Amino acid sequence: MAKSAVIFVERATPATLTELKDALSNSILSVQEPWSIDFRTYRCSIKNLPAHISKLMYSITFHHHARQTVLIKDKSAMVTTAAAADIPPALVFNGSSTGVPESIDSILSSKLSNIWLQRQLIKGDAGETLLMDGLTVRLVNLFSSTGFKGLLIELQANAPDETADFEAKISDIEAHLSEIHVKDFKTSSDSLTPDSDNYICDLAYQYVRALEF
Amino acid sequence: MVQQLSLFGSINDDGYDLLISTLTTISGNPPLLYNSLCTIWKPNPSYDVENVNSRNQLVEPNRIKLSKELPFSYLIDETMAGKPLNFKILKSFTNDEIPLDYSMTKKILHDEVPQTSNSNSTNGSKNDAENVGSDVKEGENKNDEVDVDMDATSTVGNKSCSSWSLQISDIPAAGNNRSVSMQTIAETIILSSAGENSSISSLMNELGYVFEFQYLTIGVKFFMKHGLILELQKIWHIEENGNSQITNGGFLIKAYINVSRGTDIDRINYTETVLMSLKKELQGYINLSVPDRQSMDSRVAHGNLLI
Repeated sequence: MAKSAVIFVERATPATLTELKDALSNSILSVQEPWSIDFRTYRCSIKNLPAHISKLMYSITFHHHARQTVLIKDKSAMVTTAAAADIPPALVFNGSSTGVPESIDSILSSKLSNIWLQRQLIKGDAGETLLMDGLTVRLVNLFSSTGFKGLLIELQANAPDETADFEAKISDIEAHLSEIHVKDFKTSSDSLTPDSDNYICDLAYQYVRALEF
Repeated sequence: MVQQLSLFGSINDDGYDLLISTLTTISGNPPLLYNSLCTIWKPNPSYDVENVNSRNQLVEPNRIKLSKELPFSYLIDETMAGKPLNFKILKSFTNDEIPLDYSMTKKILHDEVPQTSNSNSTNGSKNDAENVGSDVKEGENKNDEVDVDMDATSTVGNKSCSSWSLQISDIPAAGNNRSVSMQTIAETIILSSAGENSSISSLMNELGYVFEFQYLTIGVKFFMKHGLILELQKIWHIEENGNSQITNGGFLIKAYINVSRGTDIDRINYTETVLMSLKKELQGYINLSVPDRQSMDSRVAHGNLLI
């Protein structure tokens, strides 16, 4: 299973992206199509929720991973899709699905808005996808409604690499960040459960870990 | 938001064979066997859920319907095991008995789903209803008897058991002189899950919902022109203290068309004519009618069941 990691540079400027791209330019094999991401935070508005239950839930929409949306609550993840082409055929055949799904976010913000309240929407649009040796690096500037949030770097191993090998590649990118005098960043390569191999869920969890303020 | 336009009717067990051959003639397609397990979830009653959201808009707590298909091996017993899986098998289900029991559905809802790779879920081609229908039709096609191409020997832990359709329905549109029932359905697809508590049951609990009741439908369906789908259904309540067939002694007939956009008035009007012409065609034989909209109300405060 391919490995992934997410780096978030909070103290950056919109120009940091270009600086990092310049720093990496010697090892870029090719530049691929742009990508984007939506990161939403929901807060539970139930008043008598037991204290041990977390009130926060995150939804991450990966436009570059088949437009799937992953909901993360505590350490559980649920993968949903709004793409008609991705509905399992059996669900359409037996009438369970009407064949016209919408995103979980639109259901949360309409039918379930009495329980779930959207707090924040962080968007990254038209990010860069750089293909490097054994590694895909995705860079994007994140914006919220209040303005620039920071630089986000998504790393994906192209082959099911050895962990050590991938760790080395993460450090390599981190070294490049230090090179352009960026010190304050947060790296996450966590996975939901030690034995989990669900790529998209792990990636979504890394987003939550890196972006959690 | 899909608009579902529908008409309902019923027949006796005795009239089944004749109706199947009538509908086969009308539709030009053979009957296709299907099943679905529907589970209904309600907002956790121990939570204090308000009827308004932060913008002070009225949002009434709604039930959520999760449904999926089951392998037919769950639904047939030894006496039926040798028979071909086609529309005739429905005639064997004449009473409350069905091999699927509460403990099996509990396992489906509470067991963690097998971890499936996400990357392979994206290579699916366009799968609209007709397409799927023809996939199923690939088997033997003689004398209008089609075996369903579903593996009757598939076991628990089948990968297909991990995806669910999640729907929230509005109460059908009001109006005394409606010729068809019209209901708005919001839907999304759950493909898989992961993490510490990844059973569908605990995920729903995290959303603030708890299990309420469930039912199983086994039926045959006809794909007709203009996207019209006609279903003959046998429905069972699956409960802890035994199953009961709601459709005892007969079949529920549901004729429906989904219109993908609620704002597409032309399409809705056209769809209504299609349903009305089916009603006219079957007039005197089967009485297709508009059900009481109250009985299709899924709002929690109004206490009605979905079925």
